[in-house]
Amino acid sequence: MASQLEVIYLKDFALSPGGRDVAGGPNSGEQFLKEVLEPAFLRHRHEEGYILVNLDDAAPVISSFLYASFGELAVKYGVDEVEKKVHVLSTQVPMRVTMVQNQYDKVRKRS
Amino acid sequence: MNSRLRYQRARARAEEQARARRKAWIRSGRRISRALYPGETLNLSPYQITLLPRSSLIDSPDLLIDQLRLFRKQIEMRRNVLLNMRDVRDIGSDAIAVILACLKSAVSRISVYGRWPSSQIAIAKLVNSGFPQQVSTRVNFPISENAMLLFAVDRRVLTQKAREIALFALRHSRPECCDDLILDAIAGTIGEFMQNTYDHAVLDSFGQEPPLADDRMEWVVHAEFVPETRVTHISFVDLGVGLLGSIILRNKVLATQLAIGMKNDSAIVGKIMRGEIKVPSRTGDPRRGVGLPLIHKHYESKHIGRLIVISNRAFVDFERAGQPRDLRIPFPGTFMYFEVRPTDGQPA
Repeated sequence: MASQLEVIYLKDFALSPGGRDVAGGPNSGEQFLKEVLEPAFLRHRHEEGYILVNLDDAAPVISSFLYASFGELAVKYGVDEVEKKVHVLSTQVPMRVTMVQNQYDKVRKRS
Repeated sequence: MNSRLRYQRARARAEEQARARRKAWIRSGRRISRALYPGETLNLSPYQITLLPRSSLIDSPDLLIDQLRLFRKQIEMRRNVLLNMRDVRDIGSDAIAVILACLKSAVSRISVYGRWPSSQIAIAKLVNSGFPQQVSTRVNFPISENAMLLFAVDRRVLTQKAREIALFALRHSRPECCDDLILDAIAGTIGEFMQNTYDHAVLDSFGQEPPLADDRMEWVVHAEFVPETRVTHISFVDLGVGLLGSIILRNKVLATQLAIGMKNDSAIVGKIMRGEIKVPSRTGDPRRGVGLPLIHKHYESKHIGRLIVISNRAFVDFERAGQPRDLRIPFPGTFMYFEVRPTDGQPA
């Protein structure tokens, strides 16, 4: 039984998250999606709980990383479902939350 | 027969075979440069490139790019180079970064010799920039604590290195500041350019062969702290296809439209950076292509200072208002420069 709230700290994955894909370098968004985000999402997909991803204490978080992780998750499982289950927090750099939201918005516009 | 004699005979045989292959290649009428093997150079005296008394990519881009073009031409011809800096009196951090990028790209292909400046001021600037640590010198110069040079060999996105540069800049220029916004802006700016460089490399495999594809070095980040002003100058150099070169490969139709609608390359790059032109990616995904406008946002938020982008014929200095002008000689790749100042951004 999955817990109600699962908090994922990006800094536990990497202090310096990388670029878009695995071929492009270490700690990429694609790797984060496969190893951390997607498994967590699938654990909570049919449960009542949700995921909170804390983006603080990791730098830099570049746009390609968010594209390949949160954006691709939204493309794969549907933006509404992902938006409902996956929440993002960054008190240090609030713009990161906006960037993730922009990814969701663009996926929604495209679909 | 002892092993030394066997080795000498085997080596003589291999050299003879190499000479025969080379002669056959030259007789075949194909380009002579293709007949050479890595590390092998034409048996000619070094080609001399004389740097100007005031060398700066920002203040006099055309003159320095012209010399840079000559330098790269010699690399292609596998001819050794003598970099004569005797007359240099003033040299900028940006120029040093580009020269170091060229030197790194020439390693294992040609030999580069050099002459130090006669001016003590110029030598002091070179020492502060960490230049002597990157080349072989007869004189032991002091190791600079105020400079950092990082480079990648395969265009990879190494954000850990971007973070190291950002921490270096903050430690020197803003030691009292521990603002995560500024750390993210500095490292993010470098990281976005790394990703951009990597994307161009991927793109080139779909288009034409990138220039100097067998270079060892693909991008260079150079950071230099100037104690007098407490400013850290950060330069990112990618000697690849450049922003507009990449767009042309990516979408020739769009490039034509842009060329019709706008008078110069600098205006196009300026608009791309400001997010006023949406550049379609290779995949056509509208979610991509937000990295460069994000860099401009960091600049607008004053988290980084004096942003300058040079790519192909474009020269965009975001601090200087007015009509942007194109370069007379295109820069072979992309150069990005920004500063970390003690007073930029939010109060510490």
